[in-house]
Amino acid sequence: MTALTLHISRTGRLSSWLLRIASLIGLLVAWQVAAQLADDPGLLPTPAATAAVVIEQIHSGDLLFHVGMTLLRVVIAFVGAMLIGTAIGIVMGRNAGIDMFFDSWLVVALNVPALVTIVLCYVWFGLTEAAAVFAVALNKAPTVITILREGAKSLDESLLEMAEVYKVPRSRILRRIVLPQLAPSLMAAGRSGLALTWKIVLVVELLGRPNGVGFEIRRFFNFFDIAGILAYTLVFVAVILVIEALLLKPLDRRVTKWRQSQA
Amino acid sequence: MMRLEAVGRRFGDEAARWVLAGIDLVLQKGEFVCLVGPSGSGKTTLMRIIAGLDRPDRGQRQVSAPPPRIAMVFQEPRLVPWLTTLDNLLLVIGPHETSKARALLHLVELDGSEDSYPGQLSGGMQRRLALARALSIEPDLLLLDEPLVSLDPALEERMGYVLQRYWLEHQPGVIMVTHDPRQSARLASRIIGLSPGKTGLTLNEQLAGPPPGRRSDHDEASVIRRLVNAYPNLPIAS
Repeated sequence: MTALTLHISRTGRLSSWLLRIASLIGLLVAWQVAAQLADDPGLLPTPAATAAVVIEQIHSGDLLFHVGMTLLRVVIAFVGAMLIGTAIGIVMGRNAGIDMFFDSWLVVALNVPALVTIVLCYVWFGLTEAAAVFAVALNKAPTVITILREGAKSLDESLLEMAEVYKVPRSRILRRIVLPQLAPSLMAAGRSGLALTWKIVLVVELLGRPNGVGFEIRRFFNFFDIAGILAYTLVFVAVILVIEALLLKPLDRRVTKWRQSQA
Repeated sequence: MMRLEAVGRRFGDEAARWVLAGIDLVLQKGEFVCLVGPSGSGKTTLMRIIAGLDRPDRGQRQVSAPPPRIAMVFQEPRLVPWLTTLDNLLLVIGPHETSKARALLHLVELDGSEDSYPGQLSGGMQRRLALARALSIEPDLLLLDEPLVSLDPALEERMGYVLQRYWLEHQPGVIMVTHDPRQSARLASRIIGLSPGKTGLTLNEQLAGPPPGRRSDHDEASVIRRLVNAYPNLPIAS
């Protein structure tokens, strides 16, 4: 990379960060203005009042516990849905017969409302942790399957043929030839999936768990405590943004490294 | 090592024209076969059937036991774009064979490109990497679909030499598609011709005289002459 392009990419990164920060400040200002117009802390507290609740909840230890529980459910359901969805997606994408047979099942699965899956899982398997996580994974998996199926359909046949002639072991074909081609699909499914998963986890917690952010939001709702609801929401959104920035984005950069090296 | 019996292949429905028909072919270890013929005569299809990538619609393909290790250099290099030059070799020979892979890269004059991605290599370098990959598994049967095109003449000569030396040392069966009569005259122990429109093999010449590797310019000229005489329709005019 020449000094010039380095300079440009550095200033580009800097200005994009400035823009992000400006956008966040803009959001806070809009919130502040709306709160002042509403003029009712019970209905819409100011950012400062919400931040005070966050600090108070952190001190009491409640917030960390409930956010931790929710995060744990999100991670388990997310990983489960990604693993199962990827496996089924690859099988469907690589086998026209199986794809045709299960395609309508997939359409049904995609269109069952999350709430229905959750209620049914609780009824069938009881108000247990396993039922909760399973219900979330069940909601997420069909989207993963759909995205990965399309990815698997567009695998480069010429490379698979090459591997076939050279008798490359199956596990190596999967790791070195198939998964790298599915990386964009995996990233797309992962990034859209994280947001979806935590939203559904909240519903699951609201309906049938004794802890977690969703449970807390229901408690706050019962007391009409808007500041509490906003505080928990903000903290959890922040956690997800941190995961996105520290985990998913660097991963995305890593799997596309070879593309950048060709530019 | 391999035997094709009355092999036929057509693409499309019953009415489709046979691309290959009635091909009988016995391939022995240690043979260097050059496959010549104009485009559309089914050379690549025949190679794919021999490689086991395509099934004949008629006839059968028999392999000896144990089945031969087959390597194929395709018309296009078919390198894995997200693996480095070195990793492209390690993909087929296994992750621990680094020193062997480096030796092969040296053989095809790609030293120093170990960490480059295929997209950073020139077309000729990609073809040489594909050749190194084929040699890396020490094949019993080496299938080469125009492996030396788009190399500059000097490099083509040297890579032809690399191929020949490998063949002399390891004695695999080799089948090479080529349009170049000089190349077949220099390298082949047998030349097979395919013609479009007709069915099957139309030339199957066992080359007498000195074996490849010990042919003089004069011997090569006589092979070319016989080739041109036997096959005025083939695009092999030198």
